[in-house]
Amino acid sequence: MIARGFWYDGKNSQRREVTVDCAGDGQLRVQGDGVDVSARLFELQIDAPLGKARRMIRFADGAVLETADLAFLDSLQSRQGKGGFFRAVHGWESNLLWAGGALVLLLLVGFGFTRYAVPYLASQAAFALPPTTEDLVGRESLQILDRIVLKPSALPKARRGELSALFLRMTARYPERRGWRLEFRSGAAVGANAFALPSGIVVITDRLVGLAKNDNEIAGVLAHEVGHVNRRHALRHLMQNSATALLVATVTGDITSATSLSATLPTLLIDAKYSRDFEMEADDAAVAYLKGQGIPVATYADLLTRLGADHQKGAPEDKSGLGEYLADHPLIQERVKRVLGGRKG
Amino acid sequence: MALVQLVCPLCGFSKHLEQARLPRYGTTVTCPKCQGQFLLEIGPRPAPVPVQAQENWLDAETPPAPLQPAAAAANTAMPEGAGAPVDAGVLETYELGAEELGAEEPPAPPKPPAAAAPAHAAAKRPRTLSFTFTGNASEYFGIWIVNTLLRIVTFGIYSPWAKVRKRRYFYANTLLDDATFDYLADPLAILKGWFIAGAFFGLYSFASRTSVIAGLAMGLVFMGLYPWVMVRSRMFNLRNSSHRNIRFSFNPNYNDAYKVYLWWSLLVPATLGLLIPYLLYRQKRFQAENSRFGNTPFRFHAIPDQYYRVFLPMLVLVPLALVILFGTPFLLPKGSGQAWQMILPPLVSTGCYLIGLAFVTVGLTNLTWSSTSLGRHRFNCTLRVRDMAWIYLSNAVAVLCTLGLLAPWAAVRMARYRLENLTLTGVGGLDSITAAWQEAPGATGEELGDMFGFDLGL
Repeated sequence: MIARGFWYDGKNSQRREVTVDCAGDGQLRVQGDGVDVSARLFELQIDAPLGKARRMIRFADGAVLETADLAFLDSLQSRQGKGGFFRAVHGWESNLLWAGGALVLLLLVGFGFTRYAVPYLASQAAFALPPTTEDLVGRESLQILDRIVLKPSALPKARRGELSALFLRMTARYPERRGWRLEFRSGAAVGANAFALPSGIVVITDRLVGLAKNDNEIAGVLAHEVGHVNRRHALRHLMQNSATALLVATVTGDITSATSLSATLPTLLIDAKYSRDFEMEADDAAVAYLKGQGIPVATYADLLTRLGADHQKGAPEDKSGLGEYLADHPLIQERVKRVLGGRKG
Repeated sequence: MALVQLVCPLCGFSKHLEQARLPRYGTTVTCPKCQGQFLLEIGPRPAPVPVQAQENWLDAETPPAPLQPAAAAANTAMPEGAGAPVDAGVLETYELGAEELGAEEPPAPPKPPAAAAPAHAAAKRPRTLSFTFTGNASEYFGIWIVNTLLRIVTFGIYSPWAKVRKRRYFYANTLLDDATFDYLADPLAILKGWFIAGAFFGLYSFASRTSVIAGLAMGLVFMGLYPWVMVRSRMFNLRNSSHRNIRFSFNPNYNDAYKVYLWWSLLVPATLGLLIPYLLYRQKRFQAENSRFGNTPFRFHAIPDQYYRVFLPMLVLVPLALVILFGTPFLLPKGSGQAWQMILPPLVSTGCYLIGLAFVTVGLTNLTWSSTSLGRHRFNCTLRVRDMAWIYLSNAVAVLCTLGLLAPWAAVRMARYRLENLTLTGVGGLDSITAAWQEAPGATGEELGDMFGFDLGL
């Protein structure tokens, strides 16, 4: 078997046209243009196949033979019995049908990762994290929020005391409640709202307290937040987002900067899905608590509906409102339906 | 006595010389300023020299005329596959020893080498070598999708192999004068760098999400590391790139690296950005002059003026944007709606930004490449702003609309356009470059740079 190629000795850049021949005894012979070299086949390194690009045979002394005769190289490699993995990879890459199969597999694996593996790993990690780390994260988060969007609460001290006592009663049955606390804030940008931060900090806004008709409604909201806290949702959310961002970066790794939107968009979508899952879990916790206390679940659903309406009303005024309306309102309706459904069932 | 003006095609230095003292046509002369060697294309002719060939030579090598189109962060912006192997660079003073004609003393301007026989001169006429790209989108799609899948199922461990495979594909399909490029990095070395960079990246993203101060501190640490990362990454990539079985290399001085990548850039805000073109000039010069192909250094011939001229379109665009932004309330008819006032400003500023970006990046790429020479060969880069803008925009739309599936097609298309607009003109081809001994640098810098997307920036 004879092939033509170019010989570069590695000492200078001169190209020599040569022929290469591999006899049955495993001896490779390169000849032509002042070159006459032989080497044993098993001592040579042959580049893995890659598209239809020319490849090199690399000699021990640093010389290379470049050839476009890919069939010749393939036969040499089979005789060597080396490079099987990349020959398989090449076979996969160069068949469009198989490459399409890789695409389907990629979508399945991606779905499996984001839907099951990432949430599972994040929850394992969140529960394994030392409390001091979580404390730090929670404190810092609140400080940032205080600086950016939150203002001190204007609620009377007595009212705050009542609600804090309610929170204490509600959390008394959790053994890990150390560090959990209720914080009162206000702020136009967040509107009527309550949210849970890592390490068990629950923030409730004056507007939400004002919107509630009675303490049972507030208890529903607090139970929802305690559900977040108890399940370490804030921390898990943080970790899941980091993990998916990493995953998306892996998939889109070689997409140029001009299209980096294509990297952030899937991250945002996956993030939205995670948020919904967590909200529903926390709603379940709230429903369970209310049932246990003999409070009608409808009170909580009522408050959710009013919260949705309140956010909608605020929408035209502030800039963040538009996105919030689009994202939250259908979600709230869905949640109300779900909560009420839970009551029946 | 008639005076003849001699102009060095490499650095633009010119000198008047008496006609009688002029060496023979076709001899190699050494420029007293840049030490570059070039072929004399005026003077007493030896035997028959085809006129057409001479004209080509003049066309190709007239000193860098005003300004070509637009601009790109040349070395950094070339797609990995395409740019890295031919990136420019040099070690301070290095004499080209390979060719017998190049042996004159630098100080004396053009002087005839005794050995320049007429026949020899004709053989040494300059030639333009072009780059071609032989890859295609469907082939690369297969490589890309399998790479991505394997990276994910191995939790990223396969990344280095994927990276080497991708680069090898682009290098092997880049031909200069019908010879390929070769990417030789060892995936295991990359894996090591990848782990170190990954740990750093994890720490950074966790710190910046949880604590402002920790994030800032990490940012500062990284800023301090930035020049080192740039140097190590370029070192790794050039050292692992070869052409005609001769490796490239990068041997800079770290003090210089810190000067051009850190200390000088700290001055930029104080000068209201006026330092930026000069800074870019210094960075490109640093990159070019510290790089070599085998034993042959790259040289850089631009002057700061030229970098300032690349930014000229900004003098029009910035005032234009300001006028439109602040003038709209008066220009628009009353009651034409708040909608316009809402939409127009972001539209105008993004538009001006993109147009400016296109002009500056294309201008920088063209200037940087066209100011770089290797031995007796000069690069010439002729990207056009409208072509680049069209390719960028249509690529972005195509990639977005197919959720990334057309990314391989976009990458191949861009690489092809860039390479087909790059040429190398000079005497004798690239077949007498000698190899140099080098040590192998690690890949940590390269991987850090990759993770933080440095080679996209600037």
